Amino acid sequence: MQARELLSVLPADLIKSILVRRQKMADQLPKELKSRQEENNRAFQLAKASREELQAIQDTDEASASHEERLLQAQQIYDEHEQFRRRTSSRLQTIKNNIQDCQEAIDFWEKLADGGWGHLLEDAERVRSGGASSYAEAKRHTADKEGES
Amino acid sequence: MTSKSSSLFADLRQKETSEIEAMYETALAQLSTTENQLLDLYRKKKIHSETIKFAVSKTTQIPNMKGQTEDALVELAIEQKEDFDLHLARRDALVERLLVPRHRVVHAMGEFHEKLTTPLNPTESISLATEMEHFARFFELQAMLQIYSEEQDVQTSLHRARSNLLETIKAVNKNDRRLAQLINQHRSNAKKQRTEAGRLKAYLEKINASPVIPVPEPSPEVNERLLAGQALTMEEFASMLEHGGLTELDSKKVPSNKPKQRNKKSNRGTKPRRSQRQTPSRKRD
Repeated sequence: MQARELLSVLPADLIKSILVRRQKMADQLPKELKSRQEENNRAFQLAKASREELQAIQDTDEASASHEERLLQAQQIYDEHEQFRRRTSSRLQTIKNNIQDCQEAIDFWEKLADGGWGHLLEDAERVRSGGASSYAEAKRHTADKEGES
Repeated sequence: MTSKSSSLFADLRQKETSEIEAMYETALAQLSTTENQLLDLYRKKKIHSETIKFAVSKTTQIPNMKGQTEDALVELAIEQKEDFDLHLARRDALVERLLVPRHRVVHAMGEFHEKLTTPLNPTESISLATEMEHFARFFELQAMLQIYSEEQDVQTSLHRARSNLLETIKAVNKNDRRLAQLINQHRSNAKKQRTEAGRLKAYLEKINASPVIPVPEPSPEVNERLLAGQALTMEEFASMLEHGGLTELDSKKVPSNKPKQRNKKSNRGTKPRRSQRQTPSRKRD
């Protein structure tokens, strides 16, 4: 975007754009949640089956080389499936968190859309009234800290 | 020596003493004028040099002219430098307050706007806190950009003031070089005038110191008496000093009875080792 366009952006416009993006995301999330749940269920089933198989091999009292090989193979399969289950579980949790965050964000920005964004524009107001920018203040703060130490 | 003196003063011999005295006075007056002009040039050059130093911020001290110069260019340079400093201070205050330069403000604003509005994948997430932070930053940067736009004349005026000052300084520098040339010319003239005044002074001293009654030439009888080892009167001695005769005695000297010593081989080269002739003015001074 060019400087002129950026200068013409109003808080209400930006909030509207944020809300549009959040709504679009909120619309996509249930579908995503469903696919993640299915994926997670599948991963859970696979992990459960491989665990039971491993358990069964461990429970037999054989000491042959073929038994040892089957045990090792079952362990590897179980590890892979368990890793997959954990990954899908994490993805599912991310989607759940996103749904929650998205809803909170939508609620927040909807409230602000009526003109209650004042507290977010404190830095802008300070700069506009002749004060230092937050970048300048941060630099001064760092310099002061270095001066003290 | 006598021939050198005569060639040095050859042009003066035909002139009357009063005329030479007048020439001497004129030479002194010219010398005095040249030296005064030289002093004035040195003073002007100093002011020019100080002005250049002040303009390029090598010194903070304004050149002290004490109303002695009417050089409008120097005054203009000082005025423009003060104007430039004011604009610079204004620009520095703005930069110190906002810290982020204009081009970076525009760039950062674009980035924040993109982060807030670009569609996201459902797997990507942006927290509400980050959104709030970006929102606040975007509008702070917008306020900064607005200030930069309003204060655009700060940069423009600073640029203009710098250009004006540089142009003036170029002109002052040119004058400074011209003054240096003039100083060299005046120094050379002063040297010539000092030499001429010295020559006239030496000639006047010479003719004023010359005896009124000419000393008569020594008679051959005086030479004989001198060779015989007899005493001479003061008049006879003065006459030999004035007209010569004493040096010729050496050639008629009886060879001594001492055995001849073999001459040591000299290291001296074949070239004559004559010293350079000193300037008459220095000799007389």
